[in-house]
Order: sequence, then C-alpha cells, then structure tokens
Amino acid sequence: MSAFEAIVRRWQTRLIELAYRFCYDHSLAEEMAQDAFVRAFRALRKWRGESTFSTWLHAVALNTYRSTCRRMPPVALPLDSVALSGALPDVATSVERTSRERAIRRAVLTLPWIYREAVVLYYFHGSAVEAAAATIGVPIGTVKARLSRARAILREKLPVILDEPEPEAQGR
Amino acid sequence: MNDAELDRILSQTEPVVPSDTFVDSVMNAVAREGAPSPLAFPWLRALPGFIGLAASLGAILFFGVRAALATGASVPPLAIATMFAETHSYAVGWIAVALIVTLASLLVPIRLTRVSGLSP
Repeated sequence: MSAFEAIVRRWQTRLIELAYRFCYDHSLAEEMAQDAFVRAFRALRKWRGESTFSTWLHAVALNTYRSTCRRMPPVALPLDSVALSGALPDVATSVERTSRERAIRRAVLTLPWIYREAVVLYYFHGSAVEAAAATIGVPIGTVKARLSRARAILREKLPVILDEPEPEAQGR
Repeated sequence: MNDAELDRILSQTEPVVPSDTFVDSVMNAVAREGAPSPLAFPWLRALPGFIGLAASLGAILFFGVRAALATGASVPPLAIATMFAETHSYAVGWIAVALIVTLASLLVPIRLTRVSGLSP
C-alpha cells in the first residue's frame, strides 16, 4: 500500500493535469484522477511490463477519463470569448489575448472524443505523436490523421477567433 | 492564425497543482474500494481432490467393514477403533507418507503466497 502511495505522489500532477485538459475544472479533474488511481490499483497486477509504466498508467487514466467524459453533457462553445474578441478588435490587451487563447483551448472540448483525445494527448505529451499513439493504443498514422481532422474542425467551429489577426498585431 | 500559432496555444495549459489532501483522498479511496477481493476458492481445481477423498473414504469404509466381517468381530463394523486396528498392520508407512504429503501441501502454498506478496 505504501508503494502505491509513492506512485500516487509521483504521478498525481501528471494525471490531474491530463484530466484538467479534458474538463477545465480543477475539482472535477481531481475526482477523475482519483478514479484513475483506484482503477490503476485494481489493475496493477495485470501490468506485465509490455509497455512502460508511464504509458500503461496514462492509458488506464485515459480510459477512466473517457468514461467520465461520456457521462458529461456536451460542452458548449465558449461564445462569450468569441464575441468579446470580435466586438472589440481594437482593444489589444493581454487580457483579451489570454481570453482568446483560453477560448481556443476550451473549444477542443467540443470535438468528438476520438479527435479530442488525440489533440489533448499530443499536446500533453509535448507534441509527441508516438507517445499519444501509445497511450491511445492506435497507430501513429491514425493519430496524425485525427490531429489534422481536429484542426480542420476547430477552424470550422471557430472561424472568427482563428482567422482574425492577433490582438497585438491589430494594435500596431 | 497558422498551425504553429495554434500549436503554441494548444500546448499551453493553466497550471494545475494537486490539493494537499489529494494523496490521502486517493489512498482512502483505494483502501475503501480498491482493496483486492478475497480469492475465490478454486472449486474446479479442487474437484479431483474431492473425488479422491470420497473414493478413499469409501474404500476405507468398504475394506474396514469387510475386514471386520471377515474376522467376525463383535464390535460394530463402523467402529473407528476396528478400522484403525485393521489398517495399522499394513498401512503405517502409507499413513506416514500421506501425513507428510498433507503437511507439505499445506506449507508450500503458504510459503509461496508469502514470497509472492499475496498474503496480507
């Protein structure tokens, strides 16, 4: 049990951070990460070492988060941020820029799950397609295709926010 | 906005710091819900043993009764003392072997479970 506590201490930040990218709610992210650790504890004996412990743990967490996210209501587009960005094009403030970028990150939550998990894991693993593919359990080419499709969907969903110039560029 | 800019934005995330009670909360949940369930008794694997045991008991009863009847003993045929008296003459070695095998079959699994960490 104490050995597992060491695992929890070692991986808590990573699993909470990953969960947070799927919900952008800190308390919910901790709940999701806790469920993932409990599930990992139950499945620990099944880990045979075919993959690294990190990959295995992230895969267990991803399966847990998938179950949780499928029970959650669909995420609405962050229209407030989009409207703000479009209504005040001349206000080149860092606040607006931060809000704009946050809106783009939140928009990932509106993607269908297979694209969402590809995007989240790709950037979570530091833009490593291989790591994302290993965690999801699909070929690398599949992840690349999903990333490309996800970017296209984001451009369809957020044409105003993605196609307009940067706030700083507008102010110059 | 080009793909590089989109990559930069999506790579960023707000800082996430686990709460102070997170580890305790997880360990409580693990202790409450994640404790390994007791191992189910392997009835299927034990079935040959039970059959053998039943056959042995049947054989002891059969031969005990037959021996008692053959000697014309006045005691009831199922008296344990009679059966032991009959078996004592020729089966002491086998009884000793059976006891040793029984002891070994008890001690070896205990030892193995301790080595593998399965025992509490």
